[in-house]
Amino acid sequence: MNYIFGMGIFFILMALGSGLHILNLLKTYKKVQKITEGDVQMGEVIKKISRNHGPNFTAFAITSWILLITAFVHFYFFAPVDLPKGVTYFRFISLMPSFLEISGFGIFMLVLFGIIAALFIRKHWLYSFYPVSNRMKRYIALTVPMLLVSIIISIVLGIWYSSTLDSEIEFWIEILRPVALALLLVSEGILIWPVIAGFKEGAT
Amino acid sequence: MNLNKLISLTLAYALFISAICMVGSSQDDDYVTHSELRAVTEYLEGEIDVLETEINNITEGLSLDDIKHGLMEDYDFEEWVRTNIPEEYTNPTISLSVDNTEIYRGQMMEITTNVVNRNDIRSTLMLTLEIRIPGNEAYDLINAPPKWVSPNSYDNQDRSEVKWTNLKPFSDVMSMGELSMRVRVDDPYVTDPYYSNVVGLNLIDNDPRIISKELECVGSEDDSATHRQNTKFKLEVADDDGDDLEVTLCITENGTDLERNFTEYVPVRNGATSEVIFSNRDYGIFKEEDAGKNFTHIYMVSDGLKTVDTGELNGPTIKKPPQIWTGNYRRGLEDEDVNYFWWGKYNFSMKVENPDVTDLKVRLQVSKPGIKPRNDTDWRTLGEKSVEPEEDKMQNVYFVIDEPFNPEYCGTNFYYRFTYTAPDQHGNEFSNTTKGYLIDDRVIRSDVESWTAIFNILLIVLMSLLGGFVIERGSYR
Repeated sequence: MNYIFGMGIFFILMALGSGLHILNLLKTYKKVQKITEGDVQMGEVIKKISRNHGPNFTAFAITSWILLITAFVHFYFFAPVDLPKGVTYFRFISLMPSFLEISGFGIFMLVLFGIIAALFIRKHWLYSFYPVSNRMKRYIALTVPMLLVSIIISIVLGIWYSSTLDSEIEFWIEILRPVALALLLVSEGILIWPVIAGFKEGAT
Repeated sequence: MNLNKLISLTLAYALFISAICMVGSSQDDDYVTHSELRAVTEYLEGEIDVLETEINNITEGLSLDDIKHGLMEDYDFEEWVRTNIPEEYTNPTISLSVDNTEIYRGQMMEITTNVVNRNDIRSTLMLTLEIRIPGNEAYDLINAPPKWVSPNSYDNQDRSEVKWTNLKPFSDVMSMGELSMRVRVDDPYVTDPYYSNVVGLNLIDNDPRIISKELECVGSEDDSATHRQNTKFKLEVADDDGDDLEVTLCITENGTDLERNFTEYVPVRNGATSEVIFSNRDYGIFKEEDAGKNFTHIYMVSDGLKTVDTGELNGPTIKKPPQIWTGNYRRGLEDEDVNYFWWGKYNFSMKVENPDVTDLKVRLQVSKPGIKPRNDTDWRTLGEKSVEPEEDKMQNVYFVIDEPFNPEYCGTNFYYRFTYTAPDQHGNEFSNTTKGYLIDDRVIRSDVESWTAIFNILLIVLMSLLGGFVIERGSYR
């Protein structure tokens, strides 16, 4: 079964979250401008409306976003199941030391997106602009194990990837791949939910 | 005997006979009545009787040989013709025409000559074709028999057509350009020969053609052979002009200017092809000292006017005489796993008989990932073994290689071969390229339940959890 459609859903959700977030910011900025009769900058608005959700939640949220990208890359680019071998990790696996042949790819991705996150995430970022309930925080924290499970499943499927599989392993692959994709997409939905809720709130 | 009188009488007799025939043949003519015709015929028959009597009187008592001898000795036919030229004789008009304005040397052609002769009394004309080849001043006779135009070959328009067909007159002409043709007329009633109009043709030469070429090294897949083998250089040639061709095989040792030339003359029929074979057996092309050398060769074909060649062609390579005998090439898995994983332990082996090579080395080579090797750069050497000389004994050479491949081989076939530092029974210093196995797609060698896999997964979990907190502490705050 080809899971390329999952890639489409992933990007659509990502684009939806980004678009709504920008819309929310613009809408808030316009409202503030109206109240203050235009005598305010966007930066000031961002500072004024942002709120602190606490360090633990922020750490979990950052971890979740890094894991989301890492899980996506593992699902599609670890083993050449849906995409040709030339664009997957298997093309470059010989560059890794043998004791890191499994985690080398994941570590590389975590470091890469960690650096990107460290460079771009500041005090005022995504969730600072939205009220996040405690329940939502628990859901967002829950995405960490969900995405870790998705990554582990992708790694296990990569380890099993072979032209000589026995039927038992093939059965498990049929079960586990949809699970990994579902965990990935559900986590993505949870992570962008505060943005969607904020948009709905603004609309009402 | 008055032979002149005899001849005159004979001719007169023949004339009368002809007249009777002509009168008889014109019976359908509307202008002659039957009674007139009968009267003329009776008159002529009477004259013939008189003539016959006179001829009998003259030749009485003479044998036929006497008469012939007398004719040859005393009678001058040409003189008789000259003295009997009609008074108002005008030269017949001879016009020459050809179909083309351009012609190549081997081309069959048709030449038509129209003769218009309005004289009442006509002679027999002898027509001869003449050409002036490019660069020559004078005309020469063409290689074609003359044509005769007899007095009775004209139609009622006083015209006669003479054709030379299937002429191939220019094969021997070796200079190209404007070629002139004319017809020479020898007319008994005219003292000197006279000529038709001159027709100009552009004469061109067809280059000889190389149809095919082949280097045949008997019993060898590539262009290599020992100096004793009957290596054959085959060339198929053609020439549209039908020229005889001079075919030269020029063999050069790579990296030197030393050439060996062999020439053969090949008759080529117009439109057909001919094969030339230079065989090592016939020409002794290669010697023992050529062993181990590479050669190139070139064929040159000339028709005497132009030379064409094939350009430099590779081969052959002359193999060294055998010093070792090899065979029984094998490969397999060393461990009991039935799958051909890239990290598996593989064994390769061969047998070699080495009577006297003291420093013989055997190397094992496998193909680079994903390609079928075509040249030496497509191989990776995995190991080398020395083989001591031992008379009359096949020795086993084993290579056991742990992880001979890498993940890039996954999903591809590999090929292997052995190379040696001495020529084998085929004159080669390597074995044939042999297909190995299809390497399994599986890239990661650790099992899911292995410590390596658990360690790697835990590493990712730990790093991802730590990552978020480190960024939150270091950057966010």
